Amino acid sequence: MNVLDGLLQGFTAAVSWEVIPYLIGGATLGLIIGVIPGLGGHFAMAMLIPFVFRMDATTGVTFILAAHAAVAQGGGLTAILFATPGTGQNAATLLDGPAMTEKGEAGRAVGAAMTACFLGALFGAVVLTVLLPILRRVVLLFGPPEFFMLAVLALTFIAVLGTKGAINKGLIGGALGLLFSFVGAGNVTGERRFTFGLLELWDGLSMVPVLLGIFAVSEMLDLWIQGGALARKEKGHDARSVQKQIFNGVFTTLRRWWLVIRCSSIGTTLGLIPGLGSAPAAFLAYAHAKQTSKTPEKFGTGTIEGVIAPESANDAVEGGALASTLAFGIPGSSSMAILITALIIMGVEPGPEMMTFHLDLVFLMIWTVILGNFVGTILGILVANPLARITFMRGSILVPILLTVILTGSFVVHSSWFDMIVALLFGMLGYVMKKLDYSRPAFIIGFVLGLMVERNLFLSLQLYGTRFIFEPLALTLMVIAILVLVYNVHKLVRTS
Amino acid sequence: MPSKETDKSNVGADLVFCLFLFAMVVVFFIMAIGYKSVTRHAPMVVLIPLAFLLLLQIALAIKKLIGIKDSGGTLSLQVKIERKNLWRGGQLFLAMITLIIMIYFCGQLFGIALFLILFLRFFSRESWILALSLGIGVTVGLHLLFEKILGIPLYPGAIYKYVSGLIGI
Repeated sequence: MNVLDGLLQGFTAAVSWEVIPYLIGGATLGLIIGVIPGLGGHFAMAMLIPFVFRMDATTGVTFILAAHAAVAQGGGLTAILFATPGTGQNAATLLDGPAMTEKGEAGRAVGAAMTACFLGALFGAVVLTVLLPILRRVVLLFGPPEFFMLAVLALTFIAVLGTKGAINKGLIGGALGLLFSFVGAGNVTGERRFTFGLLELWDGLSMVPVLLGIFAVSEMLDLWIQGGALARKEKGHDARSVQKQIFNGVFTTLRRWWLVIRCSSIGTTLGLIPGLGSAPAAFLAYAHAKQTSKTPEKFGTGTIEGVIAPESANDAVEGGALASTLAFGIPGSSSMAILITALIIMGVEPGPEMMTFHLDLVFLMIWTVILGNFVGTILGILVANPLARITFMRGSILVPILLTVILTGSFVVHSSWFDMIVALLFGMLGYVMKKLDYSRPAFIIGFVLGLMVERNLFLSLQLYGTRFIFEPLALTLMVIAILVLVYNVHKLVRTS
Repeated sequence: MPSKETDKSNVGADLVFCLFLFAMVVVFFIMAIGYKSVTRHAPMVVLIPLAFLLLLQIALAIKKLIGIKDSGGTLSLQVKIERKNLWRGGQLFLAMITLIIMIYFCGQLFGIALFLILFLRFFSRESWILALSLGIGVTVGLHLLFEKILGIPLYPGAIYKYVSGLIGI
């Protein structure tokens, strides 16, 4: 299948009657979850994983990716209206969004944020489409040693860049995830490992309860312990005036197209680097917008460029992150690790084969990112005010309801009681990791990559012996990993 | 700004967590030695660096604790706020265990309805009307979503299984 065929087939699938309800449903759920402070894209995707295992790949991927696509838009809404970022990636929007609200321009900021999100995602998707033919060739250069080293490099990046100065804790998180992925029958010999005599562990730890535990149960524990309402500040907003201003914000963003393109380029480029995620991209885009502005002094006081820049970079990240996830099977973020889990559950293996045999699915994902964001934008614009009220729901109501859904989700995948216990135990582990700053994304990515790491290590040793690390590309990747590690450790030692 | 007490508590908790992980790594290491060479390759590649990383983290935590002690703080790891958090976390953990037990006996739908009503009324201190409406609403929603739309059968419960066996349904 060539790229053009894939593009058309992906579009036809994305707008078919079987898929559209999942696209709209996923985007709506994503928007709602995004609005709730503390619950990010990985929470949305983890929550939806139990629902996809009875779906086919087309509907399942659309559902889960549409939800992920709309999360940032929901988060932007809360950041602007209540000075509380719905997700971490919206933190940069706090610099100017709430200031615009204070000036009575809440609607304008919301309109600009929603449009910037959509345009950013569109840009990221276009770049991904352009990159695909190149990636298809690059992938052919990779054999088992290169894939093994790429996994090591990705984990190093995520551990180093994804943690705030605690490199050791990031590496521990990644290694723990890898270790837990080895529980159960060995991938090569079938010999049972670390099962402690438990029959339930013979097949290994199931991905769904581990994911739900680490990201969903732990968030519920945190929410319950914090207590109170999700958003703590309430400011009066006149619903009618907000709606009127929204369209002004939309057109202002369209007029600032060059700023959108520049900031989206920053987002997409950073998205290609595993572990960086949306938040640094948003801050970098904000800094760039301020530096290149004719009126930099207005930044921080409620200027619309200060909202457009981070929001467009936020969503453009997804295009870059999807590229490495789909082409190499190496997730660039926790959300992408969950996407890989969903693909495996639905019988699709990400990586080089995906670029050859499932190109239609790759393009379906690209279209879903675009259309999911579009649906999210329209919904966000239409129901900005009622959506924002979700933030005043008390944690004491939300926690038990979501917990029942999470535990039901853990159970239904294998109809296993043990999976509910696993979700509970990993929930506690996730909570402790969150509180003590151990990297949960690195843990999940390590857990998802375990199978690939072991298989490629085995094949590399069989093919080249221990000399596999001296294969040119593998050696280059290893040197990059070591340099990144040494540079960051050196920087940390110097600053401390 | 985090207080000295909270810092101390976090460093102490970090030390305990690392010691626990290190003990787990040692157990895994001993188990891995007994496996076939090919089976233990990948786990060993992870276990050995992980053990070093944990030892480093333990050393850092001990150094920090000694630093805090030298600067005049006490080595008490418990502070009021942490105790309160621990108590609330424990509450929710027990609630989740209760939910699993309820689902086991009453089935997924009745167990969840019962759990939500009791939790919202007595833990969250919501009104009976809200507790009842949310309990029933969420249960109906889960039934529609899983059983009707997605076609995933939910667990009917040990009581139902026992009674249906008795009356021969």
